[in-house]
Amino acid sequence: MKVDSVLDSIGVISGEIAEGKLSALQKTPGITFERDKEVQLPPPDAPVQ
Amino acid sequence: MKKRKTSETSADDVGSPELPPSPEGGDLPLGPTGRSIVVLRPGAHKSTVKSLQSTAGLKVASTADFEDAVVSDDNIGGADAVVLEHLDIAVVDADSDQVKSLEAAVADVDNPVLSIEPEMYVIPFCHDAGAEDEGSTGGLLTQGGREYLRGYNDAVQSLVARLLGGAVTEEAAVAAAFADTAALTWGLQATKVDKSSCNGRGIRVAVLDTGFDLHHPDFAGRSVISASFVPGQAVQDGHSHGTHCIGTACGPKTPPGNTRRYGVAHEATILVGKVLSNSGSGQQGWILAGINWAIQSKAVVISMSLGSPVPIGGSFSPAYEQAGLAALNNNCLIVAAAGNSGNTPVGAPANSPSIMAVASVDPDLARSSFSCIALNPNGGEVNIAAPGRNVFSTVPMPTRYGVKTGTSMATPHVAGIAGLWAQWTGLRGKALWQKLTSTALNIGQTPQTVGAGLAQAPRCPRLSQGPTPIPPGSLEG
Repeated sequence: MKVDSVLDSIGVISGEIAEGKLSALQKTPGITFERDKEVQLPPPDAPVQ
Repeated sequence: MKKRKTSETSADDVGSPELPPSPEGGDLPLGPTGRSIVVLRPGAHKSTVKSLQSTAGLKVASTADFEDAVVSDDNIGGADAVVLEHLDIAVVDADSDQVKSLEAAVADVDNPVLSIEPEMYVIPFCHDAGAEDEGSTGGLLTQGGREYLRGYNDAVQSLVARLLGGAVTEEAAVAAAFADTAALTWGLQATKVDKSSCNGRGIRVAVLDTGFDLHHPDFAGRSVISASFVPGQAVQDGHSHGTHCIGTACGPKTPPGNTRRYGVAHEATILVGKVLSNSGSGQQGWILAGINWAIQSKAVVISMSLGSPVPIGGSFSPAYEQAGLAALNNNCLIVAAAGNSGNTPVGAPANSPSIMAVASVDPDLARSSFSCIALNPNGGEVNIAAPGRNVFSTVPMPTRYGVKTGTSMATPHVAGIAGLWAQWTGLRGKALWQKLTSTALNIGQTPQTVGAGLAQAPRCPRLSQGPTPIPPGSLEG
């Protein structure tokens, strides 16, 4: 796994891992795995922000 | 199953209530079913059986007579009414004369009947892209669904008003429409920020968004700490969303010139975390990094006017929940926008149990039509509401000011008000959450739509002149 950041205060590690190694990661005791998600705001001139 | 004990003392046997026909394709049924919903005085279900019989001549069954309270049309054996024991509600199939008798009974304080309303059809949320209503529902409701929900909302508000008596009626009177004045935005008036002596001094308010116009003249001389978590982009706001939110949460008490006041915690220290790019996009990893930074920077409140939709039945993100818990454990409260998809579930991260979900209200204090509602359990609740329609605040120069609408605009109102409460009471984390919700104004709408109600600022009548001590590890310098 390529670690991007270790977020000590919230107990989260973010990074990249090959798809084929996911199952091994998920079997690691004491962790919960979650795929990164994207957030998208509307354009600045949208009627609702 | 226990043997049913339906009372049968009516002189007029009008037969078993029949369910309205089930829709099978085509248009969904709308409006009343023909039956009535009778709301009873709390704990009055036993006397209600007798009352419904004597008042309206109805045959009555009660869920108390059935094992596990499992009642269906198949086993009520010709009863005209079913009393739902634990809800203090009865579903009644009554003719017009019987309904009139029940309506007359509402006025009798000795009668257990509090109110009677027509029962309405309930339909599932469904996707109908062809029936979108100006984006307010995200296309998840048919026209019929919208009409049903409007009727349902009216009925529920009526019931709440009756059940709580004069209190709601009085508070509903507060709901006269607010408007921006030359001195104040409508949002500051509605949340009583203008009546507060608190200013947020010594409190760190973090806003995780598209950044901030660091050169905005309204913030000259303010204490600002910033960091960007967007690769390759500086904190400077190239979108305007972040600058608008920061203006609401922390804008000055007396803006330059003749500009009205628009900011809540006008002496708070501003933590700017850029977690969304100048095009408004962001990755969850950036947002989590921003939360981590804000906690380490001793933020008392974190405002996040961002999110992504969650389907009905969807759950919260474990990572956001972990972050929310960590924040609370570090004396920090995270508030997040409920979302703008109308009658759909509260989005993420606001749907995390440890993150406060903020709904939007209009100037008449009605819930904004775009504001997401509580449809999912376990964190999917709406916790509080704040002004979100036509909110005046800062945008990057040279435009300087602008008006925006959304739960994104409601959220920094709550963040700023949380900062005032934190300054006034010294409360942090979960205790601060409870203070915010316990002091919210009941605006006569359902918790499903506005949570505890409209956030209210503290008056702070005995505010000391000295600042609240800033926690160790401060980055200010």
